[in-house]
Amino acid sequence: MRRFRSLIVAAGATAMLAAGGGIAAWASWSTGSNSAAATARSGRIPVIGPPQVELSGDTLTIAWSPVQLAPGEPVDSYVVLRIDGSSAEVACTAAASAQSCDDDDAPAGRTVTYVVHATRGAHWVGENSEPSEEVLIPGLATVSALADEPSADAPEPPDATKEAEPSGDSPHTSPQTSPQTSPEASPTPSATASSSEPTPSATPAEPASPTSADPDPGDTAQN
Amino acid sequence: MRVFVAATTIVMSTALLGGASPSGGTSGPEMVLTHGAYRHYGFTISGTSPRGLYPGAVKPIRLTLVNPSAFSLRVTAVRGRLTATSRPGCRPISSNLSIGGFTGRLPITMRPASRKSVGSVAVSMPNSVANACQGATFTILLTGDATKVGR
Repeated sequence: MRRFRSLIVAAGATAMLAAGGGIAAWASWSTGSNSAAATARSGRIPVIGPPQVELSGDTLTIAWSPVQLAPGEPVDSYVVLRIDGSSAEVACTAAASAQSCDDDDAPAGRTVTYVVHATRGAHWVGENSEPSEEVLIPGLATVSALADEPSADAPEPPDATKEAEPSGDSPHTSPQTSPQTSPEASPTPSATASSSEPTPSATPAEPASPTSADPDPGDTAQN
Repeated sequence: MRVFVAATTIVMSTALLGGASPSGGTSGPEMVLTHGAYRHYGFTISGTSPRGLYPGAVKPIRLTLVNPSAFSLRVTAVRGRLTATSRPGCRPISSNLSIGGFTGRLPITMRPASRKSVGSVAVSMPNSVANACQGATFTILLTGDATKVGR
């Protein structure tokens, strides 16, 4: 019995030694893979200074100072945004070699600012610059802009079908019509719709008709 | 000749994280060599830390090995693997940063108590890199294999 007990103790000691050896082996390899790493850091597209806006005749030119990612390493392109109130639209874009571009779609009569940013690669976009000085876009205001000035009832300028409504009785009027309606001098509806020069005489022909765009209102269904 | 397998890791200075200088820094991390008899043989490796990466840029991590042990080593391979970045929207994938192979002569024999510039591992930033990777720090794990040179 004593001999059997000593065998059990010896077996246990052997097992413990084997386990310890395994742990030692694992510890050696674990130390060997001591975690450490190299690092590399990417740059950023530089922020451009506020652009300069120059008006020459009908041409509105936005200019900026070019930036580089590294000496001799230009950006890919520049994007100029026109800020009109709370909306921002792309006014123009330019290649890396350019330092200015023209805004050909500036809305006349509006006061806007411009910001510019650079791009590189497929996805890198720089931060917008500080805005330019405010600039009043010269030229005649658009017809729709004229139309909604005198009418306090005109709800939304972009909705051309509602801009020239003098009252709720004429739901379909042309955006080119003048708010100075004159039902007495009423041309045909088609003449009104095709008129590009708003005049007092170019008014809705049938202010009371709900289907003024229909060439023959008499054939329309009655309510 | 007895063959040893080296597991190599490199620690680059974290001081570079705050700067924007285009020049690279160096550091001296430790590389530990082990073999089946549970003995440890350490040597160090240092390397430059590229900065200012941008889409289209290719820059090297220049490596220097130091063998402080009392016997010669023969380094047979050095590899790099992108493992992490500092920004959530910038994943550690090859479309954001590509790690090239080791550029240099292999194998490299390192005499006892010696130091040697051994070549470089190139990192390249492709045009597909995500916008979120602007200003990010990339973590690159370097591993290598070495053998003990017989007497």
